[in-house]
Order: sequence, then C-alpha cells, then structure tokens
Amino acid sequence: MKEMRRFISPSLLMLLCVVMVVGLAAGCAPAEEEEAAPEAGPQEPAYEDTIIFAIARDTDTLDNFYTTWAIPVHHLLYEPLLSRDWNNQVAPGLAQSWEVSEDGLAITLKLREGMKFHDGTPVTAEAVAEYFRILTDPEVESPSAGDFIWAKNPEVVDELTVIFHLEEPRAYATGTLTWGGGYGGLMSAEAWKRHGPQGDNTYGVKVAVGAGPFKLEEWIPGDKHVLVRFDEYNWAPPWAPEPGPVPLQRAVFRIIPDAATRLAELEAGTIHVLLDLPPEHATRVEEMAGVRLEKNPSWQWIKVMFNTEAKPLDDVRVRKAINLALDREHITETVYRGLAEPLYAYVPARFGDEQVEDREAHRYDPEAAKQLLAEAGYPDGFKTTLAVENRTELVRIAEMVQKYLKDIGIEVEILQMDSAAWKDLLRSGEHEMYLKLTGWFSLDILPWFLASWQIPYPGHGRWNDPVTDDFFRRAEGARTLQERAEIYREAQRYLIDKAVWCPILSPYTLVGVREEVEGLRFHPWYNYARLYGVKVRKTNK
Amino acid sequence: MMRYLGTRILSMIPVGLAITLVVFLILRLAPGDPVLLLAGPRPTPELIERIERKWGFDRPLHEQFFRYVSHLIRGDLGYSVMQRRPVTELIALSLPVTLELGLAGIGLAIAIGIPAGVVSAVRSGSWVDQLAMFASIAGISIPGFWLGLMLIYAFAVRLKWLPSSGYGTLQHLVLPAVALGTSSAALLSRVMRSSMLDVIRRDYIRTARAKGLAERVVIYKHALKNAMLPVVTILGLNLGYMLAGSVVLENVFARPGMGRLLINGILQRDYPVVQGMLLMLALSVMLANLLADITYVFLDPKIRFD
Repeated sequence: MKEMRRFISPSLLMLLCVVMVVGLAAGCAPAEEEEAAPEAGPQEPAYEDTIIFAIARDTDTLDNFYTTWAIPVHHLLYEPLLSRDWNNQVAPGLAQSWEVSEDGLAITLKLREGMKFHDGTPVTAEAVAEYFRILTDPEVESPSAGDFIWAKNPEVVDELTVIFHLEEPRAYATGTLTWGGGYGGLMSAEAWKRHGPQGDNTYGVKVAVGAGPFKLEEWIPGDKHVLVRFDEYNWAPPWAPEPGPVPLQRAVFRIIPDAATRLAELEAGTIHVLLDLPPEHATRVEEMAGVRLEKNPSWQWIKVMFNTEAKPLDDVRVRKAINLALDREHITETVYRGLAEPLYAYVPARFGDEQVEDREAHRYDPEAAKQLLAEAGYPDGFKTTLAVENRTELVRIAEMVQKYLKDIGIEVEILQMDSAAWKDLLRSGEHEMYLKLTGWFSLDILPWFLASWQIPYPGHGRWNDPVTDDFFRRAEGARTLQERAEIYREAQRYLIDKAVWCPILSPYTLVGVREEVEGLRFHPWYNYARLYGVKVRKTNK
Repeated sequence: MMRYLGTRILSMIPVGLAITLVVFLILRLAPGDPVLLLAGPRPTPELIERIERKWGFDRPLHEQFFRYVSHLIRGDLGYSVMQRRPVTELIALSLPVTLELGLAGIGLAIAIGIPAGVVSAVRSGSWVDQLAMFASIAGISIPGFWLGLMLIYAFAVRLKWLPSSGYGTLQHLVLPAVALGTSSAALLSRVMRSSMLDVIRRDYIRTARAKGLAERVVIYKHALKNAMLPVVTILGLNLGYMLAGSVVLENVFARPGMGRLLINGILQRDYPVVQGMLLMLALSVMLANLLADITYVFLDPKIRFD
C-alpha cells in the first residue's frame, strides 16, 4: 500500500478524478449525440428513422368497414387494389393488371405475386373476394358498402385472379378501386373475422391487418397512432420512386386538437408535418423559420344549397338571382386571403376536364339579379334563412352572403348551429338555404345529393326531377370513363341552368412541412397520405 | 361514523339516478342525431334506417331510458356509438389520464397555495404578503387555456425544456399541471390567508404565545390546523372546477382524457359516452365532497357524525 501511495502522486490522483468525472458526465449526456456520430462517410446526411405528423381529429376506428373519418393512417395500413399515378390516371396497386370485358359486366384483376398481409398470410384472390363479400353484406352495415355494391359477386379463378361480375356496366368501378383509406384499401378478411364484431371485438382499435407499407404498432385513441415499417412490403405502385419497403422506420400521427398547440409543436420542431392547417394560421406558418407552407388545390368546395321545395326557392328565377347576387371573388379574397379559389362550377377545378365551368351563370350582376326577382314576383325581395355549421370560415362566408343578398332585397337570417344539429335540420326538410362544405373526389357526388331517391337525406336539396335522375342513371351505367364523363358534363350544364346550387369557392389544402422532410410530395389523388421515398434529415437541435 | 358514511354513500344513488335522467333528457331534446354521423359521409336512406333500428333510437324515449337504467344497474354503461366500444372501456382508458392531471393540479395548488397563504398571514402587510397577494390576483384572473398556451410558447417552443403536448411521461405532465393548478393555488392562498388571520388573533393563540411556545409551534400546531377547515371546503368544491378546467386543458395539451372524450361525445351526439362520462364526473364530485367532510373530523374534534 505504501508503495502504491508513493507511486500514485497526489497530482496524478487529482487528474484521475477529473478524468473519471468527465467520463461519467459524458456517459450521462443525451444518447442522441452518440448516435449522431456519422457511421457512413462524412458527406452522407444522417436521417431520422421517424416522421411525426400532427392531425386535428382522430378517426373513429381503423376498421375500413366502419370508419366514417379516414385519416392518412388508413392509407398507410391498407393498400388499394388499384392506384392513381402522379397524373391522376388509374395505375396498378395490389393488382398489377386489370381488364374490363367488352360488355362492361366483368372486371378481371390479376394480383401481384408474393405479397403478404402484415400477419404474414399471403394476399390471394380468395382474400380479396372475401373482403368484398363482407363489405357488401347488408348485415355488416358498412357505411362504405353503397359505393361497392357492384363488387358483391367476386369469382376466384385461381390463386391470383379474381373476377367481379356486375349486374350492369359501371364505368367508374375501377376508379372506386383506387380509393385508399377507409374506402377500399384491402384488409385481411381472416383477421377481421377473428377480431371483428363477431370475434373478440378488437379489430380497428388494437388490431389492424392490411398489406400496406406500414403496420400498426399502437393506437392510443385521441393521442397518437404509431406505425412501423412493414419489411415484407416487397413492391410499390409503379409511380413510387422505388419498390420495396419505404425508407422511414416509423410514422407517428399525433392528434392535437388545438390549432395553436399544433403550430407551437411545428415551430419547436417536435412535429415534422402539420396537416389540417386552418387558413387563419397560414401566415404564421409562412413566417416560421425552417418551415414551408404548401398550398394545393383540394377536393373540397363550399356552396350555398337550396331546399328546392321551400318557397320561394322552388322558383328557378329566384335561385338564379341569388347566384348572380354574389361576388365570389370578393368573398374568397375577404375570407381566405388568397388561400382559396372562387368557384364557378359544381365541382372544384381538381376534377380536371370532368368539371364544367360557367362564368356567365355565376357572374356578379346585382342588376340582373333584381330583375329576375321582380320577374319571379318578388320586386321587394323576401325573407329567408341560411343554416350554417359553427366553423369560423363557414360563418364568415355566410355573413358575406347575407350582405350581398341584402343588396338585392333578400333578408337572410343566419342559423348557426353545431354539426349534429345542422344535419338534423337538413334531414327534417324544414330548412331553406344552407351552406355546405363538401369534400369528395368523384362525380357521383352529384347524384349523391341530387338524385330523387336520396331524399330526404342526403338528398336534402329535395331536388325531385326525372330529367336529372335519367342523367345519373345513364352516367353510372356507362361502359367507359369517357362516356361517363360526357354524360356528367351534360348533367352539370343542365343543373347549372336550373341553378340547383350556388357554388362559392374551393379552399386550398394547407400543410406546414419542416424543411428537414425530404421527398414529401403533394399527390393529385392521395394528398400527403402515401410516404414512398419520404425521408427526414437529422438536424442539430 | 360508519353509519354516517353508509347513509352518505347510499344517498349518492338517487342523486346519480336524477343526474342520469336529466342528462338523458337534455341530450335527447338537443337537436342532432348520432345516426347521421354513424352512417358516414355518404349514407343511403336504407342504411340510416337499419342503424336506427339496431341502436334502438327508433324506440320511444321512456323505453330507451328504462333500458339504459336497467343496463346501468348491472354496471353496463352501453356502447359508444361512434367508437363501437364499451363505454366502460373508454372510461378505463381516459380516467387515469384525467385523474393524473387533476391530482397533479391539486397537489401543486396545495404545495404552493397553503404555504403562501400562511406566510402572507403571518407577515401580514409586509412586502412578502403584498407580492403573494398580487400574484394570487393574477393567478385567479388568468384563464387556464391562455396560461397553457403561454407556457407552451415559453418552455416548449423557445426554451425547448419540456414537450408542448401529448401524454405519457412526467415531463408531459408539468405544463398542464401548472396551467391547471395556478388558479386553484391562487384561490387557496387567499382563503388560507384570511382564515389564518382570523385564527391568529384568537385568544388561545395569545395564550399559547404567553406560555412561551416557540412561534413555529404556535403557527403550525395551534393555528394552522384550525385554519384549515375553510380551506378543505374550498378544496372539495374546487375539484369540480378542476375537472371543468381539465376539459379545456386536455384540448390545449392534446391529452386523451375524459374531457376530450366528453367534448367529442357531445359534438357527435354519442349519447352513451356523454351519459357515462357525466355520471362519472358527478360521482367524483360527490366523492370529493364526502372526502372533505371526512377530513373535517380529523381536523376538528368538535365535529362528529353520530
């Protein structure tokens, strides 16, 4: 011991202590720093393994049969049979080819080989057939069933071939198969039977089995969804940058209802992508350092709708007068400040050549409007109501409509109510005018609201017209998509002439993205819901 | 004591039933219908009818109520219409989240409010007292949600010390607990101060001091215990405010608690969820008041429940 003491001088002892303390402190430092040490070459940027999204509202269930509120999580878990490319054209999905028979009564799909569901079972023609049998079974009461009623007779030809036999031609059937999310992404029917309502009732909450690039790790309702990469995802649609598993390891979707909190998280860098950005906060995102605001046309549009049975809105001249009384450009600029487009058609511009725009019928012309009112027998105007849901933008639009209609003598009382009460009113038939935000991506939204068989709900416009019905029947029974589009264009011209709606504007899809996110591109069909090729660069926080 | 407790607990049953009936009626009288939400964005008229039949919304009101109560007696709160899961399961998931925040808020209120009140009273009129009372006025006046947003901005966005929202770790609890506890702490400190001031002017305190007891013993042993009674009452009553406050703060801090569930339930007219939640909230307020009453016994030997 004595030798030892002599050997270790006091100064050396002190040095040793210092080294130990520093070493300990280094050991306690955040592990992040260690991981940040670049393993590859120094030029190679390092990437995070997780992307974090913020959304405003959680879904009701991850069960595709029952969800009424699809979020991107559905798209990532469940792959549809067909997809859409960057030009919005139908492209392969789980099925690598498809064929519609000459008479339009049979659709043959050939599945890709070697695909698996998240639980390891193979994606087969039988699995596809069983999914659609359950979806269209009236006992199952799926809210999406109505859109897939044509798919109720699937025939399994071999391991990878399935044929849908239709009762009548339906040009849009292949289009329907490209819907992702809650509207047609494939779930494992076997898993659903084991864990669905007839099983242990955990499907859609604790269990979700699809064939998409991510699988469910955990969903805490109201808090977050945690998805992990599905490593056996050995393919991708042809429009994805590369086939095989996605670069990200995990995708987290946090539910943050308060818009101010969502913005704070984006600014702090604790979320990477902010979906559901209210227009009133867009400027703040634009001014944030390290964040970009993405503005893109949306599938949403806002219109004044009429109860066409209520007097005097049953008179086409009155409806036309209301259409001429509104300065759409001014309303759009005032309420949205460049974050929406005025709308002169019954569907937004994102519908491309399926849309019929009529600037003449929707021009701002208060004099012509007054004249039409006088012709209809209301030279001094009349009193009516406008029912609107409690949402900032909608109420502001309603107030502007009120002001413009006052200019031509129409007194409008705004009825402001919560969503449930508003829907109840529309169903009762006691409403007059109402302001509606619609979000949909196919022209069958027109029959949805305007076919006589949809009265009273969702046919709340109570538009009962055999000519219109005939258009819709012909369009849905069309053999080709071109034929269908042509009939719908004709129907739109007819409906504009009857002024059954009063379109106002189409808001943009607004998203805040941190600059470290690479490869996240706005898709014309899926918005930001597919994450092929997306990466998140590491930053020095 | 046991008999008193027994009657108190039994009396909760009729109160609970009355609450159930009132909530049931108010929900049904409010316009709106869960069926339209359940049927999705593009429902067919047939589907709407089917769903109505299945959930029994087409039955007369009194029938629906008796069915609900008969299930309730068996401990079955029904199924959430929107989430298609038992309400008891939803409550089991969200109750701990709310309880955690509520307890943290109350704990903070006690830890700050009571010492601040005592110090203010003992050094009444000094700068410490004036500062504490100024802070308490501010604390009572600032709305919790605004304080929450400011805390997020300062500690999450600028300083990056704490996460701004979410749930799970102790760090996630700090900001919402401060936002929730501040106004209660402020209120408690004022009540504590005035109650304490009242007590330390009493004769027995003068006697205690005259006996030559140390000032610390006089204050903490003789005065504080007697001054606590009104504070306990306020704490019991305040629990209701705390729960209401947590509804707002759960939104701001994105915590998946009962408040969030309740708000979504109301907006979606998810009758079973709203009924179940309000019943639970009413029960917890009643329990808190009972707890306050029991605490009196320990604080004041003059109070007995025989």
